[in-house]
Amino acid sequence: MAAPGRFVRRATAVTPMTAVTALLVVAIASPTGLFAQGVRGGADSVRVRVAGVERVASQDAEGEAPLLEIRVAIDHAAGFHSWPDEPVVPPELKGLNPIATSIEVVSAPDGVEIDRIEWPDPVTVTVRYTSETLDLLSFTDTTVARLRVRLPANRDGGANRAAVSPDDRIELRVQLQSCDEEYCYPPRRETLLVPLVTDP
Amino acid sequence: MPTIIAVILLLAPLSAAAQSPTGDSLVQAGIPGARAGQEDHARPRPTRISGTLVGDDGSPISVAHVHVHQWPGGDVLASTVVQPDGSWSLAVDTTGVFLAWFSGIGHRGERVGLLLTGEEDQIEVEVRLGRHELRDGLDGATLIGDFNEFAEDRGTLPLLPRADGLRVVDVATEADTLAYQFLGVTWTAPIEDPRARRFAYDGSGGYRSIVDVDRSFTTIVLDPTSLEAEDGAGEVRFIDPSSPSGRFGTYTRHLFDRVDAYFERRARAAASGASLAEMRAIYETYDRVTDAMIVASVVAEEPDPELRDIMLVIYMAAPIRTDTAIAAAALEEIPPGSPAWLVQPSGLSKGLSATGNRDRSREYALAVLRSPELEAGGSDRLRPVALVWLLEDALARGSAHELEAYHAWLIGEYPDSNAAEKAAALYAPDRLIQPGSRIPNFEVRSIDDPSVTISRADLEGRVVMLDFWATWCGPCISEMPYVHEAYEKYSREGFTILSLSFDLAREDVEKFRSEGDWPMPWLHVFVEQGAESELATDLDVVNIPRAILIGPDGTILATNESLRGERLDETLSRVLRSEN
Repeated sequence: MAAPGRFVRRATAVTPMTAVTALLVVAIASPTGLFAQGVRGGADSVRVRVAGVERVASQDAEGEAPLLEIRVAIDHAAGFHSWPDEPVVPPELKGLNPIATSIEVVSAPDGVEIDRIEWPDPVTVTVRYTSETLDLLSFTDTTVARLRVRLPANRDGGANRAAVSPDDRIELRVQLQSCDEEYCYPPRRETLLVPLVTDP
Repeated sequence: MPTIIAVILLLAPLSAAAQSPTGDSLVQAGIPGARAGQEDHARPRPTRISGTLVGDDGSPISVAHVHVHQWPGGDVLASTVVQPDGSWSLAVDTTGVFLAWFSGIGHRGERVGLLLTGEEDQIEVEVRLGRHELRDGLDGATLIGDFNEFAEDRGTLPLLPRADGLRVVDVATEADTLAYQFLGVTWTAPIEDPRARRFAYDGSGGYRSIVDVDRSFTTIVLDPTSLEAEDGAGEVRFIDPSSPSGRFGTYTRHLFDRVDAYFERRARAAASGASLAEMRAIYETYDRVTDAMIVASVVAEEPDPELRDIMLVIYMAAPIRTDTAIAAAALEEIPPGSPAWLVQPSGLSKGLSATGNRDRSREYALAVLRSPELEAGGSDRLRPVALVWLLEDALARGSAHELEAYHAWLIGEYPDSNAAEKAAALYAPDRLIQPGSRIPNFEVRSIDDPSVTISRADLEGRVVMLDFWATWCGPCISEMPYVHEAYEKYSREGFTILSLSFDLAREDVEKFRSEGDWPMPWLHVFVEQGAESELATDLDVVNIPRAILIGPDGTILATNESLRGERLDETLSRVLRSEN
């Protein structure tokens, strides 16, 4: 048996490589990710903003409180993703304790209530943490959540007239936790102060 | 024949003249490079490449193309439409190593390496395309397209089942057209929508379907009954297999078959819900012996030494686990200054890592840096690869002065390379936590017994890995098998671990350790305030997983990449050998 060395240049002198290779052990590690860089606190990885506030076309019965739709956008930098509102942990990551993306009301004027929050469907993001790929249902790129906010009706002003002042704000807290293909950043909480649009 | 190495150096500027028709449909579809090389850098002896291309039933395919790409799969430099009778022909008036893709609607594309020496006037190739093998169901089927730039990691859209058996998805778009492909229908490749009427080549042997869009969103429908399935293997046959192009092309077919089989096996395992450990086993038990037999037998019989070197380089660059013996032999065979490396420089990096002999690999990488042959062309492509390997090697060995020297060389000599840009931050000589530095002092409390404090002084005399993690961190969970294996293997040799959790609540860690598969039976700490803590600032931890290996005297021996995945075992083996 020949030791591993130069390939023999003449076909007549070829040494069978089978036995040689069968004895050897490989310890190759993928060079991918060698240069992954940290972003302190993940501040550059995800941005949260208010993408719009609109009155929702009312189909309510007369006297029903008016509705506002607040659109909260979560912008992920390229290569970043975060868990959706209802995370699904793949079997390969058994034991993982995912932090769902969520929005909660910190404070709001009297009578202002969240009617519902609509989240988009998550998309499949393929990551390679170690040597194999994993598919994760995630939020990535720009994710827009729609909050339906029910305003108190102004009884003196009739149906569908809101009883909030131009200075009224609702304070929202968005929680999320983002990762790229190799690293995860600590959970973050972003506070948004959203003015409540009133009737003209 | 003239030296193949010489013709490789003539790769740029590229020039090719595609036989008419030239694939205008591709140009209209905006596929970059479809008409590349129209200017005529006339060379005396263009190579005509021609043959036939038929489908699985032996008949011509309604829409079929041949594309010649830069090796290993870059820009298209020549292309042609396959004629209604199945014949095709194109001329390429440049030389070097290229990749030919043969594609046809409803069929699986086939590829082959193309060696153009300028000595062969005519290369004839007969191609028969097979059908895709479909997955058992469409539950994992998703859509990619313009909306995510056809990138899986930018999110794919699931195709949802409808009561009538169709799969549908709504796509929001502001453009007039939408190009798209289905993923998860076959085992590996994305496929076109067979019901579409317009197609564009996707750059890797397949097609994208194109539809007009007249609203803010459009509904894409996948009809399972429109898919034609058959596990029919394709075939690419050189009329003269004994010619240099025939020998090289046949060799690349062997490699591609092996790569495709490996990725298909992984895809099947993933689809069946394989655990991370099972997926890892596929990688670890990969049959390198068969690869080695193929490579060794072909290479040993190849009469041209330069072609032999190219064959070795592209084997080592292939996305399969490289055989140790072949890698070691390749470094003996291929001169460090050989332009064969320029065919695929990643083969150098992968080959250096695969030899199993770091001393020998280091010697070779240094020889690449010193090679005068590279001054003639290509040094700016190959030397950064060697420098990056040496940087990583110095980092793993904790050699601060080498790290500093290679870092300065890379940044100073090759400032425009991708490697330099990234290395500038990662290997900056003045960074806080790096091999050779002393770990800052710290004091933390054990999660198992809060009355017990653990400081740097308490750890002295042992090799300790500080392991920052959290139960909410997916990559951290993926590291668990490697970390547990390392602890089991080396804890009797003076090695231990101090895990530091960034979890939101202490209970999350306790539950994970007591109820899950990973008990982490070593020192453990819950870090109040996680990444906002003073400890995280002192140790420069901004994201996780983050690992720091400390020697018995508190000196940092290794960090991060050399402590992740399979590299952990390699690093510990080396460190403990030298410490003991």
